[in-house]
Amino acid sequence: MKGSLPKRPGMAARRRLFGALRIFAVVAVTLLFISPLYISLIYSLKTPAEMGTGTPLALPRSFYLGNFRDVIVNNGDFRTGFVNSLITTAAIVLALTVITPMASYVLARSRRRVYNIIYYVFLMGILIPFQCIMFPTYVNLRAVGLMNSLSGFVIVRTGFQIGICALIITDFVRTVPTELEEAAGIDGASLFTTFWRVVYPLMKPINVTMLVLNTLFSWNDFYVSVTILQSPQNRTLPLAQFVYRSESGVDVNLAFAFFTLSMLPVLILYLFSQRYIVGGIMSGAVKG
Amino acid sequence: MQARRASLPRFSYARRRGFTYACFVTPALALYLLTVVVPFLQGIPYSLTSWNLVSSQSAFVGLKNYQSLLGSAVFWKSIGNTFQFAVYYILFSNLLGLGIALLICRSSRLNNLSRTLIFMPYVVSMLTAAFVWKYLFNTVYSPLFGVPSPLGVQSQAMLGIAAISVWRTSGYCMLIYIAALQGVPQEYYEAASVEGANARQKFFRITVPMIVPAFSVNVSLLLAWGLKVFDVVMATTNGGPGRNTTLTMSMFIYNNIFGNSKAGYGQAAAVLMTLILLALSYVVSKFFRSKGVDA
Repeated sequence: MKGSLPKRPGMAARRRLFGALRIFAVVAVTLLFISPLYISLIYSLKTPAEMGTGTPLALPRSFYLGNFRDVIVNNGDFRTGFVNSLITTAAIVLALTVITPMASYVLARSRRRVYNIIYYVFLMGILIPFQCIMFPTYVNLRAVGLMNSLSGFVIVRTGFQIGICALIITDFVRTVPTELEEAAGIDGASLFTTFWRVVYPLMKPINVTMLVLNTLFSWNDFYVSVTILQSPQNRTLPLAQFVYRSESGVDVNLAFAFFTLSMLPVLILYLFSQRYIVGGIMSGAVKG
Repeated sequence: MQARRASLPRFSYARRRGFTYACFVTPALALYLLTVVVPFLQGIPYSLTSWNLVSSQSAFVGLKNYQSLLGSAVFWKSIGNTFQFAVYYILFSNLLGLGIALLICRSSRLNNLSRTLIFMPYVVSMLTAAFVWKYLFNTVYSPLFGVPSPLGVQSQAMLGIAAISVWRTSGYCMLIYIAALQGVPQEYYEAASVEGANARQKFFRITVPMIVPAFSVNVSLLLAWGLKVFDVVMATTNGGPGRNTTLTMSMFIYNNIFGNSKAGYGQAAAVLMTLILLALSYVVSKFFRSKGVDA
């Protein structure tokens, strides 16, 4: 492309200017996008006394960790929410990582009509908004005594996530060659053994991607948990944050320390596994 | 037992495989049926009752809930608000996403870093994002520009809510556009340069037609997300300021079922919302299919 451009005086200078402008634009846009996260962080590192002085965007003069300590030590809602979020996210993700690949494997490999129909049932299900099953879910959970329980939330959140996960994993399994499984079958391995020893390891890329994304969806869930977990001792982190809906009498620094601490686990997860998240989304896979 | 297994004829291997297959599908399918399909089917008869959440008393009322919904100004207002949000949301997320993607689609150290950072808001929960922004509007934006927070002004509240959501999803759109842009063969641009095409012609004649699949993914996805908008409104304006200026369909349903304990009525609204969602998704996918997208 460079060779085809006519050589004119000043062309190189113009291109340098363009390059500089582009870099400036990239940096500016990036800073704009992360500024809310930056402000959350510096607000949680400032003392209330420091808030009044200087511009709100300035770095804190001393990295005051008292707000974090205060939230962790003195805020019972935060601790309860954190533990509940941890438990439910782990349970949901574990269940999805075991049962969906099993189902997807069959949907991808079997040519029987019944599995084809099941595939379409999963497909139709992802179009149903949770609002439409919210009330029946409430009725059913109350009937079996699982309203207001973490296990009720885990069951419903897992079930609601199965459809989309199963579809994405099925599409992946279809691209995995069958030779290895056939060889294992000829060697006399049962299908069960073949799946867990041969196929499941081959599914690792998609399973890791789904594991990370499901962790995000469970940790950040609000619409399912707000329906099911209504008592204070069962709140997850997003529900515990709800006290900040009213701003009166709220210590801004403590509020931001709370926000930052709730974002931190997923942000760390993202930075360590962004290859999988970005890969999953770029392949057009994710419809959470 | 051992001897029999060794001499098993072929058909029973197939049968054993069939059994294993069924066992593999059952856990996921059963859970899915119990938590999605069955509640969905239950919801339709529920919407024909006057179910009251508190006393669990219900009577069959036929289509009365639907009738009164269609005559309810608040319900129509919630539909209008949701559409208004969805339009802002889809439009600005895509414009920003595509703009940034064009800026940083080539891989370099700076571009890769900025991709990672611009996508970061998507990882944060919508609820946390909403709270953070609500405080930012009040403590940073408002004093800086000397204007009130948009969330407190009736005519701007929906735009403020959309801004928060756009901030969170632009990075997502950007990634899908980058993937599409990287798939456009460089030779097309080189050939166009040789023919003397300018940058604008190259963009509209090569880039845009080549990335139609990305438009399709981003528009249908954001349409589905946008029509369901719930957490961000709950966290910021709770339907206000004033009367129902930002009340959305999801909030209307939630408030009726759990707030006013008019569960049958709320469920009828939920069924209508599902129909609207399905109809619009169908129209959008039909439109993109006519543009040659197979999705």
